Amino acid sequence: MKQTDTEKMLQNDPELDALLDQMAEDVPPMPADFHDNWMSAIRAEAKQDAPVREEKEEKKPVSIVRWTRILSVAAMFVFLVGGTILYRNSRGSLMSALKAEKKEAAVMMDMAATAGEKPEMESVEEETAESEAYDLSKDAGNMTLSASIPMAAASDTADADARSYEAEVNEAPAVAMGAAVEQEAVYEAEEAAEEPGPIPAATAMPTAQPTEEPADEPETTGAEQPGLLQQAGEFFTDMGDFLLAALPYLAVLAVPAVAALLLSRRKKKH
Amino acid sequence: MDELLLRKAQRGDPEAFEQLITPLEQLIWRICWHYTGNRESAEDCGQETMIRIWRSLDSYRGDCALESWVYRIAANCCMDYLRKKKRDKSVSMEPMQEQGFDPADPSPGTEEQVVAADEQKRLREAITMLPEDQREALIMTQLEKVPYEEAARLLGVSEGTIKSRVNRAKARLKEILTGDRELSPPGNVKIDERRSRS
Repeated sequence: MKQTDTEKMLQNDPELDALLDQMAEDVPPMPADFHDNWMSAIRAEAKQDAPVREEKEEKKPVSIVRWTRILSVAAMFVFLVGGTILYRNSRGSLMSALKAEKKEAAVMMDMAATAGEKPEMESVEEETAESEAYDLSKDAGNMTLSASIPMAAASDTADADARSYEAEVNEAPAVAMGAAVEQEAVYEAEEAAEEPGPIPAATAMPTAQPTEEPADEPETTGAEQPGLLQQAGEFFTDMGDFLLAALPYLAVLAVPAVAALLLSRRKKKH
Repeated sequence: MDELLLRKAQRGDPEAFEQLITPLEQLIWRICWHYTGNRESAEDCGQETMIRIWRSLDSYRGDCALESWVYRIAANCCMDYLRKKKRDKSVSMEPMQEQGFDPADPSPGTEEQVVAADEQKRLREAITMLPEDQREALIMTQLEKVPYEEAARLLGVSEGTIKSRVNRAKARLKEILTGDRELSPPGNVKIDERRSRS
């Protein structure tokens, strides 16, 4: 504890300062028994205080500083774990909402496609198939006609041949119809192969009911389920994300906290 | 400072306390002397200071140097002692002398020593007449040579306040001493003349 030169500049009265300096230096020596006197007083005090001190130590309550520490650690834990869980939940619901929206949009797209293009194609194809069947039956009819004329003209005598020929001609429209049906069936099969789950136009209307979890999500078996370590890893990753998201709020809270800390330190100093 | 020693002393070990405080014993004695100006009173104050330190050592958390903490307790103890004494009877140099006031060199020797002792006596008397805050600031900075910054911290005021208190104390001391000289007995006039010659 030494004074600086600037401090000494305040001493502007040399006479008074000299007197004060002299007085500061002229301290009589400490009495010889001073040490023994105060030590004996302290020993007496210690003896007197010993039972009280022991009792005090036994009943020593947990200090407020310790409680503050415990509470702050607990609060931090609650903030981190609770915040992360809430963050995960909110993110999960957001993701499912997004999925549902996406699915709905896809259904709408399909519906639009089904209502606009597919029926036309189908009707065209049906028409084509019908017209083809009609043409075939027509051809068959023509064939009967064309065949009957030469048959009648060429040989009246060959009855058996004519009968068999007639029978053949009469069966022709039925064969043609069967071929048309077969062709249609093939087309339908091809179409079915192209689109595994065609949605009927009548049931493809969007409903207000909540959509269930998509069935095409892979089902996890017991062996495939993520391990505890992986879950913990995911949790901590989410915790990191949560902390990053909460960083601006934490920064805002940190400003008054730091100010309060500085003030209390300053108060303590004084 | 030995942390272990401090812990032991805080737990009530008088030997540890002795080891911890003995290096500061001289400082405590000096403070008590400067405040009281009396050997007997300084001894009493010193002992009271030690007991107070012992009792309140539990509350010492190491926020400041032990020396500063002890200084603060000693100064408070002396101020309390002087207040108590003032309540009992007005503190002046005459009663102090009656009680055994002991200037730095009590044995009358050469004329110079007599003059110095007389001047110190007058100055000490003047210091006792100062207001408490000015007296404390003056003793701390001018007699104990504590830096202004440290004194401000110890007294819980700003550095500027300490400086102004010291200046006011000095001005007041000058006033008191000048008035004393004017009213001083012939012996003192002689001393003043001698000083002006030198």
